Amino acid sequence: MESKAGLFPLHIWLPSAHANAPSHVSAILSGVAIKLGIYGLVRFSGWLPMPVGAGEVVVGLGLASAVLGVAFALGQHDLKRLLAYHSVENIGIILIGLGLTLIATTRGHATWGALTLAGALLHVWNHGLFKSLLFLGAGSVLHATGTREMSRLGGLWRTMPWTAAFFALGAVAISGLPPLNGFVSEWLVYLGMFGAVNQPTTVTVAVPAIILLAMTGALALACFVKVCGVVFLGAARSPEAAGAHECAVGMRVPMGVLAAACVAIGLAPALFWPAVHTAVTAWRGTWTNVPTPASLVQLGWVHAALVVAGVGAAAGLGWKARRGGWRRAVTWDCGYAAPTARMQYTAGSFAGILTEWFAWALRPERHVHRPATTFPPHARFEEHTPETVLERGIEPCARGVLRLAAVVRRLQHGRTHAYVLYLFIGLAAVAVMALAWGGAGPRTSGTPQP
Amino acid sequence: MALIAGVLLVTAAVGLVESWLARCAFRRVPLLLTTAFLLCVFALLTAWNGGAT
Amino acid sequence: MTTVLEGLLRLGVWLLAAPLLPGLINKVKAWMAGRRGPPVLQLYYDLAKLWRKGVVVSTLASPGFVAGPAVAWVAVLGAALLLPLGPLDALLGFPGDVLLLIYLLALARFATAWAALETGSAFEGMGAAREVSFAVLAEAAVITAILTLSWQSRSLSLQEMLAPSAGPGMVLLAVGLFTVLLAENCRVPFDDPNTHLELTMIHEVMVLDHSGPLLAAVLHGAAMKLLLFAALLVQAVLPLGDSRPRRRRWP
Repeated sequence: MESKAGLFPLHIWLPSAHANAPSHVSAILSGVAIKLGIYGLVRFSGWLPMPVGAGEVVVGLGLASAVLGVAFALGQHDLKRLLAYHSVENIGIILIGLGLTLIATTRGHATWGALTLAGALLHVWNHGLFKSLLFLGAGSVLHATGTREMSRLGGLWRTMPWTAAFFALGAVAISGLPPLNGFVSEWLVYLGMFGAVNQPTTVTVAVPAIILLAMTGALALACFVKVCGVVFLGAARSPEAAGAHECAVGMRVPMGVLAAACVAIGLAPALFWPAVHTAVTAWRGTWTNVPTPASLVQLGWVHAALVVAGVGAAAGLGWKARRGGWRRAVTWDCGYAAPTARMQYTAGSFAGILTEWFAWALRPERHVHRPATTFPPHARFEEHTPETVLERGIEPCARGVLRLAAVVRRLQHGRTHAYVLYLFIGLAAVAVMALAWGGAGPRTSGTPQP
Repeated sequence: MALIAGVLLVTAAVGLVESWLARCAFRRVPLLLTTAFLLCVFALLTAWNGGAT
Repeated sequence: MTTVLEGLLRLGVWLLAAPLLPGLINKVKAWMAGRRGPPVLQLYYDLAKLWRKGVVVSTLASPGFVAGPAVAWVAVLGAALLLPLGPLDALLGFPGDVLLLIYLLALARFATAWAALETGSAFEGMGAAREVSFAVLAEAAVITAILTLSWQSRSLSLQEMLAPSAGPGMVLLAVGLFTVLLAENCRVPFDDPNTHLELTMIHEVMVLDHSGPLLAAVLHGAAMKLLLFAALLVQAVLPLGDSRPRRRRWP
């Protein structure tokens, strides 16, 4: 189930599969298919007796998935691979909530256990919504430009304003920022976790989980600032990006529906609480008396006020700027006469600081050709983050097994008389074993004497 | 009143620290922040032990 | 009616008091260096001047270039209004509002970094990259401080968390939060608010291409964020709040 859900380190199939599928299929894969693993886990954990320590293990795996998923996402240059790694991250967040819920059930702490479960289950929905939105946006970019390589994109907002706007909304939602749905579910998980902090038996799990979840949020924000900035803002980095076109209405409508759902859950979280509550009580029938968190209503109001104030401020500032004199000029860039698109910060350089911090896990491959001599002929720098678990962990092991198997396979050559020889050798070995160790067997461990 | 006094004190402290640390190198930023994080962790541990006894 | 009035009053205090702080800091710095320094109210004059000026916008910039500073400003203001002021309760307090405060500041960061990347300038990309990267560590420090306060007060609403003193780890927490304040508000060991072209730049370089009212919004937002962190730090450490027990502790 964990392999199906794409949990670290069993996620190796996920990035390639989600990146190479057609984008609407990626949306289904990331939004729905990997949730089947979560569904299985939730179903069985609610029904089967859980071994001691299962909750801790799930939290640990969830934390590893969340932090390393987003770290690998930061190292990606391929738009859809990056989104796929974010699925690993979000599955991690869901499992943190679920794991804490399992701990809560073994300790009998219903109040916060219900909150983490509600957060995790709502995050299942939310992730389905905003990740599908992001994959559809990425698909629209791929359709318009023919490339997923972020270093070949840029400045797409001009030709694809709708896609850019929807993608930005999805990015805000997946970064867990208010006033959208991602924040609501993460907030519920946080509320539950802070409840766990106040119990002496669970504090040691909850404290690291909270700190790492907060860092995951900040890392996801960094990653999505990078994606939006590199893909949609600035200047086009290639002719394909410059010649992009907006996607058809038929592609915009699904994005609009998903975006509207993200906004709706963000602005009126209390409306969706009954559904979440039903799911929670279905998981554990004794948790029926968990009330609606009253703060959920207030959170909805704050979110609504935030949207109104934000839109108002943006409109007001825009109006003021227009009225006071509005002039377009080339980007200043500290005095360059003609900045070119190649001078822009790239995805790799944007994430450089963070991938450097995570180099111990990412193991990026670097090809550096430093400029030398007075008139350096050329210099280049390449960095590529591989699927480290697959390429550095599993593949070497698998190669070793294959090599061993190749040696063993030499025994099977089709000559019958040699096989007969094997039989004799085998029989002789058994006989020797029986004489050497088995000879004493019947007397010591045989049938008990009457 | 105490809040205002406190905020003014913090402001003055920022000014003093700025004058004092002006020659700090940029590459110490992550280190300083990690120190801040560790300080907060120690504060948490202190609070925890204080609460337990 | 009184709530509305009080809200407006509080809004006014936040809006008007915030630009005082950078002026005071500059005065202290000038005094340390033996200079006379700019007037304390310099930022007010700057804001008034910038508000009247026209705007020069990069040819590459989308409407998000204007929306970015506006959203960041609103997010910081929203976070500020969630904060109780000494014995006065917050305008709106509920369990978990402290997380909303942190994430509103994150939203401000997202909006600022977005607006910085609008121009396609290498400098602004660099600044945005540094801002979002160092925020990861700052976030960890802040959430740990929140954990400490939450553990102390057994609560998750700012009013109750900030009311008592920070207990035995007070000094540690104060120094930690002060470091975060310096980092998040781009003060000297991390950044230098006076330079635009040095290698220390994080925040200042992100707003390199903003001008006129847009820059005014950015500067005012930054001043409010400084005031917010200062008020948070003081209240976290000192027992200033109204520590009457409240009805509910957990949602």
